[in-house]
Amino acid sequence: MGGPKNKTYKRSWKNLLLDKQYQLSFTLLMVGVSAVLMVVLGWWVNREAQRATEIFLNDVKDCRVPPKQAATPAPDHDRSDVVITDIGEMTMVAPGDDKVAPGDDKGASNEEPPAPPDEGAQPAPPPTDEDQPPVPDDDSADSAQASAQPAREDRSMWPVDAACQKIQSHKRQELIDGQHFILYVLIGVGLLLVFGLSIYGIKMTHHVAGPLHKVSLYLNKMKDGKFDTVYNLRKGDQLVDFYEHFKGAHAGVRSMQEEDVARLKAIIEAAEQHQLAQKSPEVAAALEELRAIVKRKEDGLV
Amino acid sequence: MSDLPVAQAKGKRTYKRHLGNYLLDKRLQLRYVAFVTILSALISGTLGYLIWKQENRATEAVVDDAAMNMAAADSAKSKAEWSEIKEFIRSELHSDDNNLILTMVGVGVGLVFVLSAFLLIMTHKVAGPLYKVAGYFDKMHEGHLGDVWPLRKWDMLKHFYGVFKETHDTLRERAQHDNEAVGRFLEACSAAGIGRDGEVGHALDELESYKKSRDEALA
Repeated sequence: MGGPKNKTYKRSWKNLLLDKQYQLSFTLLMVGVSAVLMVVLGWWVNREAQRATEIFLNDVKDCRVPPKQAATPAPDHDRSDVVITDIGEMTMVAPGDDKVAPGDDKGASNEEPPAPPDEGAQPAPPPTDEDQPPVPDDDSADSAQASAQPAREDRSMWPVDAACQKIQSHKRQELIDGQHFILYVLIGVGLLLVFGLSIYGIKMTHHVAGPLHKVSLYLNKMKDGKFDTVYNLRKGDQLVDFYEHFKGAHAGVRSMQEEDVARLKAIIEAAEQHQLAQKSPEVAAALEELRAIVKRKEDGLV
Repeated sequence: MSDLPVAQAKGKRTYKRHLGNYLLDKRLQLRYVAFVTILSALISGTLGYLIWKQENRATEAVVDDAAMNMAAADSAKSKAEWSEIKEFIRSELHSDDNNLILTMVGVGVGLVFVLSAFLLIMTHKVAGPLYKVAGYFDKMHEGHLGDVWPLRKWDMLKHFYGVFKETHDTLRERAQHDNEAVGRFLEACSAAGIGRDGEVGHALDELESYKKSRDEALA
């Protein structure tokens, strides 16, 4: 038996599907289960994203702030149409902090002129950042409170704060965009997963199917009685241990054939020396059969 | 796949799947599992981050709005009190966000577990037949060409196993046929009155014991 030699094989994409039944069933099952899990996960993620967006859309009230009781008595027309644009008037800033909330629609600023700063005012909650919507000054003139009470209780009567509305609209859009982004990511990841796993599955199973294909070719040769040289696997192939088992089997069967040839040759030689074929036609026929077996086995041991 | 059992039993044999036997070829099986585990972790992590970001954004917006509305409705509270209320609302909503992170981690771990278990079973359906064939290869190496039993119902590599079984059966039949030819020669010699003494007799004795060993190998 010739020892294993290195023979180089080139990989070709055409040969990727060597064992269609195994490779496709394995890959399709893997992709199928992953896709189902991805759909379930995606549905859940999308639902959560939608819930988060809806919480904002449903829970966040319109940007109405109570009227400035003392300084700005309610005008005759519908106050809901009034847009407060001067944030400085509505926002209570932290002590020593001169920052004013953004969003200054100057065009409408003359509708409600800014109230003068109240020195003894108790500060209202501060904005967390610059995007903080305006909060009303909590120390409006006490005397005006009673007269402004109905307007303060009916929220729909409060004027709309344009700056706050702008910020809210920006946040709303951000959340909707975020939800859309998550949806696109889900679709992208889903497609990538399906295609990626398909390619990976076929490539990985090819690393298994390749050696098996090679072993199958040798097995077919063995079936035809040919026990020629077994070459090594390609670099990167899997089933290296399995292939070693196969090489052992091939070597074992080959040595059986060699032993058979040696034994049969020995008996044929002894029979010829002692002219056993002449003892009876049955012996002659059996001896001829043994010669045929030896020839077949020798032909197979290339 | 190195220490393989040499099964000699006859008749219909049943194999039981054991949990410990699911990793028959660690290198082959764990490669798939590791890949899918990393992939699942990446996907879960990315989606988890995106959804957490979305929740967080909504939380901040709701907190800001709630604080502004409450402040607008009740001007009696001080700045510090409003800050406390705002922080309370924020911590409540963030606690929901954190629960979402925990849920996402749970989903990620579940995904990894389900996919790993699935792949372990799938690869076992490949590694199982390979393990079985490797066992037969070991027997062939030792010169045994016994019976080959069919695969389990859900095993993969049925085509390859079919090729192997056909080859094994052919080799076995051929060896049986050759042994029968040797038997016929020995019988013919015996019928022709060829004695077992001398050089020929010794060769015939050796051939007979050789035939016996081959018969045992084919049992």
